[in-house]
Amino acid sequence: MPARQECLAYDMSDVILRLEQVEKHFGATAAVNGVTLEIARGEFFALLGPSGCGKTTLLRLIAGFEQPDTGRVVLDGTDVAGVPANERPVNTVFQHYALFPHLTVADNVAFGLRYQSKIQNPESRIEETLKSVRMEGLGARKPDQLSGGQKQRVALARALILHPKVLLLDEPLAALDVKLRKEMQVELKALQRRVGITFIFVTHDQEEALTLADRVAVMNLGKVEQVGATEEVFERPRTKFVADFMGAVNFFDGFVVRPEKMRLRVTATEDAVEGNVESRVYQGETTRWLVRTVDGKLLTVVEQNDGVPDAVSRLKPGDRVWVKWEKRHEVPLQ
Amino acid sequence: MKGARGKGLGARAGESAPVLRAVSWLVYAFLYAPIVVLVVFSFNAERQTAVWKHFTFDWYRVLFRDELIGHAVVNSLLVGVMATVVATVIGTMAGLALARHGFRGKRVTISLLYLPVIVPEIVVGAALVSLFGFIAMRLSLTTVILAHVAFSISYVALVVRARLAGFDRSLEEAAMDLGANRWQTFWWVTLPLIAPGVMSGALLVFTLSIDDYIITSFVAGPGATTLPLQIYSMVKTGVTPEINAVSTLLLVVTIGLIAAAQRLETARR
Repeated sequence: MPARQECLAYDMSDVILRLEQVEKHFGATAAVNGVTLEIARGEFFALLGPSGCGKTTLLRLIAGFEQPDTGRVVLDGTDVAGVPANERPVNTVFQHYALFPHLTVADNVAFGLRYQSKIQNPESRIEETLKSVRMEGLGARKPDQLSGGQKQRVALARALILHPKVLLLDEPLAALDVKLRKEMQVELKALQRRVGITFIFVTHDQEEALTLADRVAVMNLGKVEQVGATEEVFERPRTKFVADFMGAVNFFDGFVVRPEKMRLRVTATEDAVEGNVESRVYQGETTRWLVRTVDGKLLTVVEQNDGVPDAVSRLKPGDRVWVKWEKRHEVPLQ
Repeated sequence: MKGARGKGLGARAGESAPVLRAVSWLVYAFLYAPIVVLVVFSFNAERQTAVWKHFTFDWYRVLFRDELIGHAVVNSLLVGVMATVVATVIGTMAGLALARHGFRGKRVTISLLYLPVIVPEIVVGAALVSLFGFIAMRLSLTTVILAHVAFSISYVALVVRARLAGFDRSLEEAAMDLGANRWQTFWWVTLPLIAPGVMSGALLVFTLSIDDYIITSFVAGPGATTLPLQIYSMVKTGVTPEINAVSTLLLVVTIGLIAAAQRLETARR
């Protein structure tokens, strides 16, 4: 489990960003309702949750586009609450990139440099930054001459050239198609490792959060439900909401079991739950089964497809079946 | 016009029904015959407008030597440029405020902005002249400029507001995120992006100003004769080819400005 070890390598005593009891209301609704978080230097951190959970507002509070009603935003030891966005050593990659359409790629990337004092040799720094996102030689293009992936890279270069203490990314890959998104995930992760800057990104896609991040905070209704290493949050969700959001849909009294941890048996088995196949959905690598147990509960079971037809793969809706899982896969919920 | 003839209903009707085509040409003739006559007779060597003699530039030569017209042109340009600059700045700020900020009485403000566009000019003229009388302001070129600014602001505000309707606010946030303060953000990001709207508003103001007669006739003081006022006073003593010539020039300038404004308005939306 290399990913797990990598994230444990972060020194949580070297905190780059600390949120303390941050609250933000819009009218009567609390968008962010008492969030406390610590993010270590060099971490790749995900804010995960459904739309309206407050993750984007939290990102905007860190960027300085919004100011908290109460609480502290401590960036590298300094409370930045009240400091406007243009004075914070934090940069943002916007969801739709927000590249300046009237400027060339090079001028977009150079934009922030003019507000920094004593930049030596800006041209080489621009070229260097474009190179780091594999956009060298495209500096003279205008944004409307770029593909989605290229725009994304320019947005990254424009933010990274300023060497921010924290880079914020708002749904960075949401505007890309699936194939490109997978490619950019790999690239983004490699880029983060290379530059060593703390990345905090917002996403509603749990798979993306798991793929990219070292640690993740799952948000719901303006609060952090659970924060931890991605693997821990995925395997050991603490609340029903987190379990549900992470795709563990088989809820029992006090615990939950992930669908891929359950197995189907075609004959009566000890410690198995009896039921009938309700439906099957072939998904390529896996098949998703819905089973109605004899006491009326609906269970989801995901079986790997090994390509060789067997008794399980031949099951049809209506067939009698037994659902079996290991005790150790039961995850207790609060 | 080009669109209607080039495609759609006009083209199809023209092919299938000769009568419709004839009617179309009659309508065009009705619309444009006076202008064609005006332009053609500005090149006529005969002083009587009714008879064509032969082609000449004489009237344009006379025109450029006419001191009264020269004075009027200078006045008109001065009023036009001043009104354009002032109305464009104020109108742009108004358009920005309307597009950006929610404030009390915003709907009323928008309605009030539309009013000058629809209020009869004669009413605006009468109103302005009584206002200037009330505050004891002597009628002069200054009052003409103020009047033109007054009726032009709305047009600029409406054009700029329309331009801002599809404006992506995250562009401004991106600028601030990269270190620009509010003013720098406006100057380097917002203004360049709304510039076509601002420019087309400015051209519109200049066009409105340069050919305004009714309002100007109310508020112009002695010595503040603008070109339209001058043309009208000349017409009173009989239409001469010189008037045709100056009107032709005014027509060319106006069409040019409107075309430029439309170009800018559609450019890079």
